[in-house]
Amino acid sequence: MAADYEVIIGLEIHVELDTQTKLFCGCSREYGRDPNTQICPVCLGYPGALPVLNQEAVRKAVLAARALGARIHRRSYFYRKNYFYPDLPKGYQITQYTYSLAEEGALEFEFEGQKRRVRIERMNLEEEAAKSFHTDDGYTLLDFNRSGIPLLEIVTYPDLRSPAEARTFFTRLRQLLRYLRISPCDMEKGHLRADANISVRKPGEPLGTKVELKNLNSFKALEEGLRYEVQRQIQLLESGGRVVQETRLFDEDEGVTRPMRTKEEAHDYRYFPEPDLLPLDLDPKFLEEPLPELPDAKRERFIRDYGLRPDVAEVLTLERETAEYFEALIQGLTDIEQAAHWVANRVLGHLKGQAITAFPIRPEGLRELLRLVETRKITLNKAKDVFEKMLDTGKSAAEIIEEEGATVIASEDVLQTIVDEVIRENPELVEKYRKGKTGVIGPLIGQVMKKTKGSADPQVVRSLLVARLEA
Amino acid sequence: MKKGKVDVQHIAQLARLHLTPEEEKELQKHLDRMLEYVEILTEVDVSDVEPMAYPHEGSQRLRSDTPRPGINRNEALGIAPDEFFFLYRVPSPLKGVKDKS
Repeated sequence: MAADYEVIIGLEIHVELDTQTKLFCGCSREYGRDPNTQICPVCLGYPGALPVLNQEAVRKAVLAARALGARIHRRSYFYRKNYFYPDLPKGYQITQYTYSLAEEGALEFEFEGQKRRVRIERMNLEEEAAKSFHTDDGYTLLDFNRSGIPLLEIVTYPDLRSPAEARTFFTRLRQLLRYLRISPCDMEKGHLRADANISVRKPGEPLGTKVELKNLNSFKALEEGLRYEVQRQIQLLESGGRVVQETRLFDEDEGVTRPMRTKEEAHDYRYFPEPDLLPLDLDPKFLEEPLPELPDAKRERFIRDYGLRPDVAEVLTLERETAEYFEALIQGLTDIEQAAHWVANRVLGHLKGQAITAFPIRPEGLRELLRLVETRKITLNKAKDVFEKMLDTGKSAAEIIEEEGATVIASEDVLQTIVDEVIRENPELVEKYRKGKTGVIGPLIGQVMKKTKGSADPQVVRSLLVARLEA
Repeated sequence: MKKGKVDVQHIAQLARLHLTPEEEKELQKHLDRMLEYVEILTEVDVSDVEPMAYPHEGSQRLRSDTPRPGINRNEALGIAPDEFFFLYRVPSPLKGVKDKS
């Protein structure tokens, strides 16, 4: 039944831009401060207060528009979008409407092995509303610290075809925005939010009635909310009903969408040009600023230049900071693949999603450790052990090895002596080996390792043993 | 009531104005007349004229992203009708809805 329907999804995304001050006033916009301590007449909407645009917000928005290949308007305008809600005491939100900051961009990404391209319809700068909390006794409480924080609105065309694809797109967009360092995109802090328009139709039929879905504020909520809505709309149509155009909220706890209770006024925002702000003419410097290397290009370069497996390159380029850590680490190392695995498995494994910038072992420290492995001063197993001790104690690899003394691999001369000793002591195993039971090399290696207290390189031991046994 | 050029009821609702039927009738008359007056402008041929959003020349100057002190919280809340633990308190606009994004 569901297979007979085509799903059509468009997203409207809001990103809080990472600036020091708000969009139209000099109030700090730091997260988590005491309520109503970062406020002024502009962001409280006092009559007569005049907005002055923050250039850093413009710079960051333009960076995003360029990274998405959008056409940027050298001149754009601000508008008043009029509506009544307590989180917006002016009675209007300053946003952009006709003559957006940018339009007609696109984001390309891979989904289920296919190259996908989702077009961006428009990108606008606008102000954030105050944070509201609704109490059980019928009040709304307002914190204006959030009021006026710069938002970048990104509106896609309805190019997405499934909830899972929408999630992948959203993930890739977040990755791109983080690469640009225009927002931390911490969804728990509300830095990045998504609303969706969704409809279903049978292929070839005209577009179905769309429903606007709100409150999709995590990757999981986005996918689950959309999935629920697809099922709801299909079931409605299959049972002879019809979809009503409305705004619905996703209830993450119960996994259902519900109609949002609003006053029946239709959307009539009576947009008009903001008389307090002249046109925005972009300074060419915003258009010339070099863009950082973007995720796709970085991943391809890692595969091409470092010979990394695509899945490893993907892990190392998910975050720009991880890629930078890796590239700092490999300066002067010869075994790039080994270094890549250390970052992808040990470092990221230890971080469990935390920022690599806060990882206590800096690239230089890890490089010192890996160089000891490369030059066969210590074994790989020993290195893993030293790595843990570096994390526990904060000491460098050299310090730890020096303290433990005997851990440095014995020289080949010494090893040769031990190998000969082991061969002498185990005539039966040697006999078996020479008769073709080459598997007994395992226990022989084990004995050498025991005598060297684990400080020998097992591969070297093996080759020394083989050389003697097959002589 | 006969529909004029302006939907007074709709506008009144958007502006949160409660009008008596008499006021509504009176405003209908005034607004319709104003609109008729403005409509004279449509007689001018503007097919060669570029659309203009602003009547002035020039463009806006941008502000550097440097924090400045705002106003004191007590002062701001002091003139609010109601507060609750340093938050402004107002009647809920949407009863029964948990959050609005």
